[in-house]
Amino acid sequence: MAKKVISKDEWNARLAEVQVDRDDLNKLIMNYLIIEGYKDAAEKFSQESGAKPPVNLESIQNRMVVRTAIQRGHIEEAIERVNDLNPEILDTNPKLFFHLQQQRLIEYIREGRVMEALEFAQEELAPRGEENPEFLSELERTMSLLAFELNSPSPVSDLLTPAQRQKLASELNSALLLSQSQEKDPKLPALLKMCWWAQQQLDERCTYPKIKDFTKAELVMEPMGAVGGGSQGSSSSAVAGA
Amino acid sequence: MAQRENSRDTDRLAHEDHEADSENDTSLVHDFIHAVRRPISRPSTTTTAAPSNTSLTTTLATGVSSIASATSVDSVSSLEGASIRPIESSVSSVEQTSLNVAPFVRHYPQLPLRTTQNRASQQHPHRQGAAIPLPEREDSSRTRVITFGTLKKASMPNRAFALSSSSVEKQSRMVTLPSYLRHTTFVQHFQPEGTSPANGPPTSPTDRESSKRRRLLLDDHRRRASTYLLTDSDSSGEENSSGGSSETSSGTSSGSSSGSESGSIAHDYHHHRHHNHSHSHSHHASTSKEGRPLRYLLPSRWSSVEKTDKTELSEDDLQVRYTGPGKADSDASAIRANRPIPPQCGVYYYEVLIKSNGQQGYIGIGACNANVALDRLPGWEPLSWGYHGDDGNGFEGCGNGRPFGPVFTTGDVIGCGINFRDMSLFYTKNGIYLGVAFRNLKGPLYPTVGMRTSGEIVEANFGQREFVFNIDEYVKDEKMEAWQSLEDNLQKEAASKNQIGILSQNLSKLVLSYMIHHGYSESARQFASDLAPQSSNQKGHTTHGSNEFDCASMVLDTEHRKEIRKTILLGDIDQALIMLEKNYPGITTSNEDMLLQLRCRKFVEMVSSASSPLRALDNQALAKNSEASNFEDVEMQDQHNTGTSDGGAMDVDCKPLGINTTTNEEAPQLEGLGLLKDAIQYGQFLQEQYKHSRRASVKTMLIDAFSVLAYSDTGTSNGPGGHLGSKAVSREKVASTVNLAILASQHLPTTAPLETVYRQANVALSELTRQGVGEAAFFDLNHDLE
Repeated sequence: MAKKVISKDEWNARLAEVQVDRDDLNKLIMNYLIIEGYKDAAEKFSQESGAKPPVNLESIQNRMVVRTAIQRGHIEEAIERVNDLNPEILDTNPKLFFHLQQQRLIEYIREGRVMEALEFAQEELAPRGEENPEFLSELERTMSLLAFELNSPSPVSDLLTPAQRQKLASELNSALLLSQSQEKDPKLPALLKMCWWAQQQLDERCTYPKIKDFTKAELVMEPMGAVGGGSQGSSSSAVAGA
Repeated sequence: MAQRENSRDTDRLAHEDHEADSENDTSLVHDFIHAVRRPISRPSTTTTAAPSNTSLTTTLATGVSSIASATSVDSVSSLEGASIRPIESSVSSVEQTSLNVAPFVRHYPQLPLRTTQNRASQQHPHRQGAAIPLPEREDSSRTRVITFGTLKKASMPNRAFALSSSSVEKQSRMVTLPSYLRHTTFVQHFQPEGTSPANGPPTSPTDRESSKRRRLLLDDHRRRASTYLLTDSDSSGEENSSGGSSETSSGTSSGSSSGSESGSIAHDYHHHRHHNHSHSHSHHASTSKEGRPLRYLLPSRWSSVEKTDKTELSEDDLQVRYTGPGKADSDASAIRANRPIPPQCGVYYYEVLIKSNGQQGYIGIGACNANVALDRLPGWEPLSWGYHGDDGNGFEGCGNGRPFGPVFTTGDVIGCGINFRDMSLFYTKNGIYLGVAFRNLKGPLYPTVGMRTSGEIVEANFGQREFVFNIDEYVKDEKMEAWQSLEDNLQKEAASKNQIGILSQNLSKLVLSYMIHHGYSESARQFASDLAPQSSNQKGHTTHGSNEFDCASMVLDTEHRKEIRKTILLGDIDQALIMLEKNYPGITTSNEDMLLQLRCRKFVEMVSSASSPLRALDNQALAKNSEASNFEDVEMQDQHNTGTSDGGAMDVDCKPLGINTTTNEEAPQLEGLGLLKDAIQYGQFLQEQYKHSRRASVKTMLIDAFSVLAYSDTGTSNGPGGHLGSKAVSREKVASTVNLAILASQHLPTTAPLETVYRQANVALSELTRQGVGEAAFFDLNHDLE
């Protein structure tokens, strides 16, 4: 039952064999900058790398404003802006609209405006929850924030993280992109997801140098521990390539 | 390379090909093919052809096919008449068609010329929106039956299918990838049939019985050979020498038993491995070495060996006819496809047309492992799964079925699909999805059909033709499902760790480090400041200030590295050394290899700059060059005797190149000589510096550098790359070494993390493919990122 082991040398040799086209990576970056709404960076990047932006960079601006509003917790402002751009977006996206309202609720709770939160939940969110059981459970989860101390860890404290805002910002961003009939699937996350998935699948089958932290992308050989066969490999880390 | 990797499966295939060949000789269609070829003056016996010639053949023949089908002939005789006539008159149509053909050829560069020739008359680009009735030709019975329905609406442009008008000549060979698999990574792994090694000259025409007998005789050889074959890298060098075998077979009908022999060896070997490695899905993988491109063949026809004597095969090995007594269950007879399904395709699909229900229609369709007994219907035995026509039941490893779907009978088309994502098996009937019949299948899986009562006839379509069922959509859905399940898993993972946005946070860091790494400093600055409001919003995170500072210093570093690199590429090693010391104090002393490379390169540069003025005067150059080589000799002899100044290394290293007081107009040769003296002196210094080094790499590096003296008279000495033929370290190499050394000294990764992620994803997915993980077929780095 010993898992197959692929040595670091073998793995590095394979990594080195992969053909990587700088232009392709540049395109990934450009795609990311545009989809995420980093207009100025996209302009600079286009100048420096020669990667051509596939869309008019001006169209990024609006999305950037909306994104910033969400990330600052100004949900009402974001909703207004979206409706200025295209009122249909929220009308045709009940889920997205619910998430925006949910975030408003979260922001009320974060700011300690409990009464407003309760009122808002009853008037705006509860009716939607009745329409959709999925919404209802999310609403309940959000409301349970009130039961916990805001700054202590709780089963629902993830709702208060910046990541929760980012998630919503991305969702809204995708909807805006779709309404502008731009491609909405960002490629860079897809790359990371594929890498993550492939590693997860491989974990079940063999031991190999793995990326644990995607920001550093250092390859770490899992220590062989009790499961593996015999050898007491160390968990040294090294950098791929060259 | 691909040939060698595939030898096992394809030897056997080749063997079967030869068998099939033998029965084609008298075929009308064979004549037809010759007739098509003749007008474009291609001798049918040529084995190799210039590429242009071949593509012309393809074009013309395809044109012919399309005309033939467009005229919608209904009988064999009119088909033949119609097909030959249009050749001269249909130039425009031919041109039009050639546009459609091109993608196939480009798509599968492994496609051998001879295969193109062979298949030429069968490849037929799908015309958008056109519902072309397919004239079907039944070769053995010479009756015209059935069309496989009409083509579905233009769901697959570029779709190729074998036109049945020329079906006899091994129609079943898989040369193009069935279109549904183009939605998976199998596009990269598909091994077209016929690119395989086939030993020796093509087989002589033999009937199947005699070849079977020969197999028995060769039993001993086989056993020995199979052990030999187990070494796995054996069949290398067996280049595909049987090009054009089907056409030339009549000409080389003698002394060719070797082809057949090797076929059976491969076949036996195949089974040998099943016994020993049945746990491994990838046992039929066609790689001989890990890390090589992974190529897999698809099943393409019924096996002429993996059957009983109660069934007969048509000449193209696609149609199976039951010929047994058909009285009892023990009269059942199953047949397997010629090779297992590679799980790497993600989803595999084939269809079976019930041509005749026979007496009872005890027909089973499904999949089974290699060693399942063939005197039983599919599903009756362990590791066998089948759907039976008489009762519509599904059978899974035992004689009692469960109700599954409708019954099927003459004229029905039953589709059988294996989903390697979840190892399930589904069926379709006449293009309608019937649902999943079995789960938890275990490979290696072969398509299989079985029959039991007399008169039963079935015909398979392994993807050579259009399917009745819209399998393309199914595969696309599966791909979306695969992505959805990935997302779900990711969510689960993230939720359990309470880090929802882990990806999006990673992303901005990856983007930033990429920009910095590659020196896109303006972009990096801008992006970092765009990110700043975000990070300042995050409580407890890095503060605004430190983040920006961090980034600024990294950008500065990028610019230093860029400058130093540029300087080295210009050949100004002294300047580079100064810059290195200034910006990265101590880096030269702590990096011996880098310093050595820089010094060696400096020596090379000195020699180069000395040699150019030396060459300035052509007449005198000769003399000077001989002098130069004298210098070399002297230098080599004296290298240990002559000491140099004992000053610090940096002093010597940074001494300006050549102290030159004479002007170019007056005496270029003198200038050259002066420079050369400097160079030699520097060389002697190097010898002195490193004379105690025992490391072979140091010696090699020095010798390679000094060897430049031998090349100093070549015209290329001033090129950026250095000397043609010299092994001396190049500017590019030095620059890259220095760059890596700086990165290491700054504790920065030597590859941009994003690039590492890309490489990692690539290698990890390949490894999954290698291990036969079917789901990996749905994650395509090349296409999903475009």
